[in-house]
Amino acid sequence: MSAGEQVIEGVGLPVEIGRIDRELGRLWEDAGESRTRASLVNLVLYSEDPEALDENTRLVAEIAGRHACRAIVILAQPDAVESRARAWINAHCYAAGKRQICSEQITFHLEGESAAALPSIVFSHLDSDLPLCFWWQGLFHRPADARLWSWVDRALYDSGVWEEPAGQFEAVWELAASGDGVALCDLNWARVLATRFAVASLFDHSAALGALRRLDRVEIAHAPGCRTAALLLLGWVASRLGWKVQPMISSGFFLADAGAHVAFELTEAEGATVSRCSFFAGPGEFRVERCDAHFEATVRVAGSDEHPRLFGAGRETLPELLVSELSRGGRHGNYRRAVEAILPLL
Amino acid sequence: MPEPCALVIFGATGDLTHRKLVPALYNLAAEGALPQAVSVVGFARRDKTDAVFRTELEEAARKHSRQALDDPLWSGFSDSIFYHRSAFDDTEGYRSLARRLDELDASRGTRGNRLFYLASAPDQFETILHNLSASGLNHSPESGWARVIVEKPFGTDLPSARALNALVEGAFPESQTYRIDHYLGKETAQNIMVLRFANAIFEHLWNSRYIAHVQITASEPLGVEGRAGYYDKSGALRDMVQNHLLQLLCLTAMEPPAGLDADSVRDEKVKVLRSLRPLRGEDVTRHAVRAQYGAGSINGKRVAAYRDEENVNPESTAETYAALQINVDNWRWAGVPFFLRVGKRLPKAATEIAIHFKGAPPVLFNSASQTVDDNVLVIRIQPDEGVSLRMSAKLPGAAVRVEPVKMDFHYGTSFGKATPEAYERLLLDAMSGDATLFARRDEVEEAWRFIDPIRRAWDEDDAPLAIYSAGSWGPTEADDLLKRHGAVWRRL
Repeated sequence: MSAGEQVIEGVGLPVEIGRIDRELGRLWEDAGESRTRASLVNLVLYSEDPEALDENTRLVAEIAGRHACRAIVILAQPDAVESRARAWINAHCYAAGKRQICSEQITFHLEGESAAALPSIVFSHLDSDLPLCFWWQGLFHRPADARLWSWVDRALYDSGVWEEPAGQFEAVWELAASGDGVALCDLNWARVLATRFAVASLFDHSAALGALRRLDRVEIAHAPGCRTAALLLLGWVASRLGWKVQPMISSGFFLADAGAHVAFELTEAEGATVSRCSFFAGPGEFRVERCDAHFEATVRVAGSDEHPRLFGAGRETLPELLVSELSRGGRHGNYRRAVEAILPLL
Repeated sequence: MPEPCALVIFGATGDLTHRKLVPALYNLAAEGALPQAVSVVGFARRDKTDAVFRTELEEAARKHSRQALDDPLWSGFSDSIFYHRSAFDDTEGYRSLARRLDELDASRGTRGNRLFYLASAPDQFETILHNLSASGLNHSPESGWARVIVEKPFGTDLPSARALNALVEGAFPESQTYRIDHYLGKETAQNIMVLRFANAIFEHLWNSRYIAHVQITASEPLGVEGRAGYYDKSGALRDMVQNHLLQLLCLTAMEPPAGLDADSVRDEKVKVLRSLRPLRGEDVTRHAVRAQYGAGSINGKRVAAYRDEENVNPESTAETYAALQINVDNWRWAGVPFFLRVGKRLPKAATEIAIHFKGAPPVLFNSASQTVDDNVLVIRIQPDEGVSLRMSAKLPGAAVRVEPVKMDFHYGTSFGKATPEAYERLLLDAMSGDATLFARRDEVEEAWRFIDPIRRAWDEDDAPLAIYSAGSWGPTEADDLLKRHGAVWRRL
């Protein structure tokens, strides 16, 4: 048995694709009253990495207790020589009093030509009337498949894993245009949510608020490989304050509304996704620094004492990020503007 | 429990007998719903003995019965199965059938009750009915009854339906005629009336004041599967819309009947059919869409285009998909469009009725900054029979975020056993003399009266047929039908 087959064995009971609904029904009929099927959302996890299948199954098992869903886990290998489509079903159950609450998982392995059947595979196995969240893991293909994305309510992806984010963001805008009303949910954006919250709090104090328009320098320290997350944070600040990046000039600053230059510097540092974020306005400094599970926010301005405050830093694990996205609803109103503010820097 | 009778199946060696009728009869027998004396006589041309016939049926029942065959039970049941060899046009074959039925009356106690099931090809109906009359089999020899069950299609248009009805009426009175539409035998179809008229909360909302539109869908991933000869002439409109979908529409739209007897229910259904706004000429272009499947993939497998299927005319213009906007012009439904769609090679097998309620007022949670999905009540006919209601709920947390959630009732899990097959209920009803779930002559003719102009307009239309990829949800033209009303087809 190959390693790939061992991985696939862990995903549940093999079933004929045409009999999935029937077999799922049988699963619940056999379970009797002790188990209840629950679902708030259709969650599709799509990957082209064979190792992701096992990882995604663990992920679904981990989130199912907190956010019941119908999970459709797909491994597509379009380059495989042989065309083959296989499926498995599984249930993840959690005790809730005397009963067990269960989420269903349907897993597909699409090889060769059958990978082109992705839209039809997804359309065939949705739990109707529930939102469809589609997590596209890895790189987007172009052109976007309008047939697929027009059905998706929330498109999930993680810009943190992209090596060439500029082209990928273009692909995201394309899919957003083809999917009527699809909400874009970047897990990397969720990853800096707690940081954004802490940064915003820096300027809550009336003494600090006025400094927002006088900021002249930004420094962000980010973990190796997390530059896009740091840029998203920077893009968020820039878009909120109306800064425009100057692509004609080598690098390093934004142009603020009043024509002032705002320099920025991104540095790598071991640790959290964003370990430090400092804003300077003349001699004043507004800093958020990661300390274990917290952010420490410090304001240093003339005539004001330092007031370090602690904020929860949240957890950056994939299950946490995913649950936070699934539990969120609505759109990320500032996200696209934040990305557009830093596109030339990607 | 019905009275004992002899059930004579014409076309006994066909698919319907093997896949549906005999498994249904076995299930009824296994559940003790059939009197011991009920006898099944297969009438067909091929030469075979009772024993061979029983063996063939056993094999089929093992494959198609909803409950596993219990050997002793099957053995007892199969003793009630007989084979009568005759061509449909052989008058002597009918005379010998009469003698054999008399013998069964004497030996098994079928009391002169006869139920004739026309499961043959429709072009044989005339011959069979004529010979039943000529041999006197259309009357019970004793004080029993003689009934006929007619399988669809009930004609191919209004004139042929009238001719068929006249033919049937020449042999059997309408009260003894049972036109079978197996959709009506499904538990959930029967549950539509219960849902509407046994639950006070729904009926108050069941009108144009609260309902925005209704969607009725019958989709299947299958292609023509060996029915090319029939389907290529029929198309989706005749095969599905004229009968099954219009019946579901009637059950959804009808007024409360005066009683639960067959004619009270069927009277109300006929009133709905008479209220359908006719589609003619330009209306057909605007309110009806037809299409045919091209190549694509189903369940991850490549499938051929309709025109490349075996025994299909490579230039066929038969529609494998039809979508209609139908208006029911009566007090209750004025201004509420009913959208019907049916298709082959669609991604999922599903038959359902979805009642889309009007949205909440555009204030509070349904405002410009945040909209909420409308409520939808879904009656799933097959598979996974059940009822669900979509509503909005607040996501847990400090912020007020509203998302759709679903209350879902599944027959299978709630009642702990597989629901009976439609044919079980229908056979039992025909034996019991209850015609409620069967189509009456005027129902069939009214349905054709509505369908014929659409068919004619399509036949006369020389515009190229829309093609949709197998595995998709149909052509974009069908989406436009709903877009005009600010709606979209349900994501099933």
